[in-house]
Amino acid sequence: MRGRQVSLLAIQFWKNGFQSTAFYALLFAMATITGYAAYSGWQTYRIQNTIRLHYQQQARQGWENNPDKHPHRMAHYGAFAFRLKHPLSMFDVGMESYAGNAVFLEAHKQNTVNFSEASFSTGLLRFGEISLAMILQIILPLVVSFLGFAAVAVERENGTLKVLLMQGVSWGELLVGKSLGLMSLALLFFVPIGIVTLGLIVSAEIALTTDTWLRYLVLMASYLVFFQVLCVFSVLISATSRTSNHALMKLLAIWLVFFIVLPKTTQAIGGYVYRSPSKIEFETIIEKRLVKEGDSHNPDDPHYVAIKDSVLRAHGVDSVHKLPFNYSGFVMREGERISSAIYTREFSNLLKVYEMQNSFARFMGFVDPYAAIHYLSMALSGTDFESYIHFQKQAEAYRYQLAQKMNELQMRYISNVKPGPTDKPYTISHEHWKEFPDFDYRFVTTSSALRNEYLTITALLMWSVVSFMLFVYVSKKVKTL
Amino acid sequence: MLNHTIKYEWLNLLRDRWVMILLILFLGITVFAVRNGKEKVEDRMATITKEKEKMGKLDRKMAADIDSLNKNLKPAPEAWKDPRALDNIGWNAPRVVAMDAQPLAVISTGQSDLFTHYAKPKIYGEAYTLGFSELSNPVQLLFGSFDLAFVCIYLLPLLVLGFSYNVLSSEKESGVLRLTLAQPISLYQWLLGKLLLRFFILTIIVVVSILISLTIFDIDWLGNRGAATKLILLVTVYIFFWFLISFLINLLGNLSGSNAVTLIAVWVVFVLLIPSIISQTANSFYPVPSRTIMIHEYREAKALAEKKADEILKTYYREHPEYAPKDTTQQNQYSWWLGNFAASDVINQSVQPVLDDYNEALNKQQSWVNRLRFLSPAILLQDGLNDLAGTSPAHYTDFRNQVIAFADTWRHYFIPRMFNNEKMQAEDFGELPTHSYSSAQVPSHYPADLMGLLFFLTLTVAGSMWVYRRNSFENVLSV
Repeated sequence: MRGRQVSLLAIQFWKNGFQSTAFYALLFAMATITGYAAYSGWQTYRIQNTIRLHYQQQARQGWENNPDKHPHRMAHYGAFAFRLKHPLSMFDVGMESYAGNAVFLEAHKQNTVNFSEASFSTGLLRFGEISLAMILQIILPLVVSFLGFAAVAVERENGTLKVLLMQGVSWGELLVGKSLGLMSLALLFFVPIGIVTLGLIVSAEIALTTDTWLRYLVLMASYLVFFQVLCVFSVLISATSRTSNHALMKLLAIWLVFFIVLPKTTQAIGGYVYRSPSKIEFETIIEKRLVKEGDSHNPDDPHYVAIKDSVLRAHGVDSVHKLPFNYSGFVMREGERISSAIYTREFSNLLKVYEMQNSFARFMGFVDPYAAIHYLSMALSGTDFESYIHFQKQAEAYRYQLAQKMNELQMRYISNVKPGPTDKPYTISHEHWKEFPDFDYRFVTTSSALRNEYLTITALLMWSVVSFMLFVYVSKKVKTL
Repeated sequence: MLNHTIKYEWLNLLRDRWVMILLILFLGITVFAVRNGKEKVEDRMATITKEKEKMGKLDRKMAADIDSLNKNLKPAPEAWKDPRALDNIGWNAPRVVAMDAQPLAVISTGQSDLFTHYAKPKIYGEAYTLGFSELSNPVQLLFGSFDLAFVCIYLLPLLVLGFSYNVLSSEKESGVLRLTLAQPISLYQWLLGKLLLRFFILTIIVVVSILISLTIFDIDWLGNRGAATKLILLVTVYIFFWFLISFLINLLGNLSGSNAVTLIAVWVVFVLLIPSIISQTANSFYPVPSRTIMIHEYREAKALAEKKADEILKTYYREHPEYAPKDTTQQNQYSWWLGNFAASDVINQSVQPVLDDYNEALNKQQSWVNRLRFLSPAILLQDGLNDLAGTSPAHYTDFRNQVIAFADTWRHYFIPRMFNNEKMQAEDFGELPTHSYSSAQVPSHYPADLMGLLFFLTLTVAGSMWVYRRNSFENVLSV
């Protein structure tokens, strides 16, 4: 393969692109929609972050300003966990509109799964959202089809293909040259979006870490691979079609099936094969488990009677009032431990069902490159299912710490003897409230995001390898006429 | 002459195996879509039935317990378990307010995967904190449901386009067009005839597929002829709109490839871009903070109210002298609750502005969307289908409001009795207030949606006539 020939072909393809007025219309349309998507992403990020910051501070102040109180009342006063939006969510909104970004946390109650933000939306959310990622994933592939369908087929129609080959250009050179030309045209659309994204994350209010940079670089590299695959396939389809018209029809059909119909269908099949429980079913399961393992509110519950006996024995006393710590605090600590363990187990079972449902679409990455880039892009932008779960788990861990910390304060500082009817209720100093740290959200690290996505990464790389293999295959088998 | 052309076109299409393949494919897709809808509706109804059964069982048990307690057949339980205490009934035996599925609910999932379809408002607790959100896999929500609405909104136009994009151009490209137009025949009529024929065939395929699927899954569409006719009418008009778009593009006289590209672009704009832009602008013009934040505001108000609980109760009695204890020597067994009710009134009053802000922002979003829905036939169809299925945002808002109103009724059944220090009797269970949801109050969008679609039809017809007048024969015939 001779580099000069290849680059000549590529340059000629690039120049040809600019010949038609339709190309400029396309450029203009894409620039407009890119501008809109960037603005909309930035706007959402800014609004949501301002709201979050404001309320996070207020909620914390509210917590710290509580007067002297009984620690259990503080456990029910509760706290909030807010999820930070990742700066890259401006690029790919992913599931942001469906996953809650704040939860209210209190003792005994797992409020984590209660809030879906989509319930606060108009019905139009279901049509999807325009983001920079959506442009790259759905619109730009369509543009690549428009730009690439004629690549080789038109030379065949015009009879110039024969001339080219007679002049000593090999099929390999022709295909590589045309693909590079198409890729460079695709980059004309892609690079500005990459730069805009960079601008957005630099303008984000939070300090950029190397982690964010890494995410950005991997993200852009993934899209490069994605477009490489699309460009090669477009050129190959053009080369194997009798007329450019046929090539266009094939490419449009492929786009419709692989980018519109298949993704929705596979997710529907996932939901069909693995049925997930409704809220009431999920709550019923937890209730049943709780009753089975011990109900801390029932004084006659065998589990708690046994605990009481053993605690009394261990301390060599005959009544809970003689224990050196507050007994109801102790019982609540035990109850929290049990209920939290049950909840965590059931929640992870629920997540398993969800993951099974999603796994269909994830494996689809091997059939449909769109599925691969869709999942990978959400993961790297911190807007995927894993990021959402990561938040839920951190929030639940924080809730558990909050409840147990308050139970321990109760055990240590609240008297074991019930106050009389005229006594003031027991309280502890408000100084303790400050001791309990605020919720501090941490993003999924890039390395674990990449580990989660090993399937889609493999799929994307597989597509790239397959496209090169097809290059070789087609250049040997393709017919000139 | 025109009849001749149509007749041969008809015979041609009949022999085309694509029509058969299309029929089978479309039927398969429709059956799958209706099946998905049916599953959701069945789950929904099963949950409601289960909850109602649970309620009935509990009622019977409590009535029996009260009976035996009154007859001293059983030792009195602790106060917080005593079924004779009104607060225990109001708290532990709430009524189930259910939103039953409408007959055609299977056609469109709409908002139904976001919300639960029943609520159990209790004697205490603010209605808006009632959890209405359903537990669902957010990834499933993101991709949406594969229901009949999806098939109609997204896939039908694509079928139409595939069926019609090259009706004129292929004849032109094969050279037959010159021959055809040499006959005494108008290009406009000839093309319209060909497309109308295709429209009829596709519409029959679609209507038959939908009716077969509904029949397979026991949806009584014959018993709901009105709604079924509305459904068919809406879908037919939508199909017709896309045929007319194709007609318009065909008339431009471009090559098949160019037609296909233009039609796909129109589809992308109407189905993908316009709806998303409207939805996103609604969010950025009228942002609604997270629901959790509402809880925060509520808590602040509650903390304030708690500080002055005694004072509040005194004011409450001043304002409701009918509730003031008549016999001051006897302790009211519900005194804790009564203080609570009074406090919660104060809390509700102080939280009201926050709630109003929320509702206002939501209403503004919704009315923005309602107004702009006339910009895309896809939105009009979605709105119309949700309306027929009873799964539109308006239906769910209405249900929530009815639940909130019922929560008040429920509370006010108990409050006077609790102030009187009364007890629950077994026969009272039959008299507890209940509520069955009715969507009669939801204003129907359907007529406006249909009108909107018809408006798009008219617009396309006008556009095509304009194109036809401007385009010369020579232009159309040149390759």
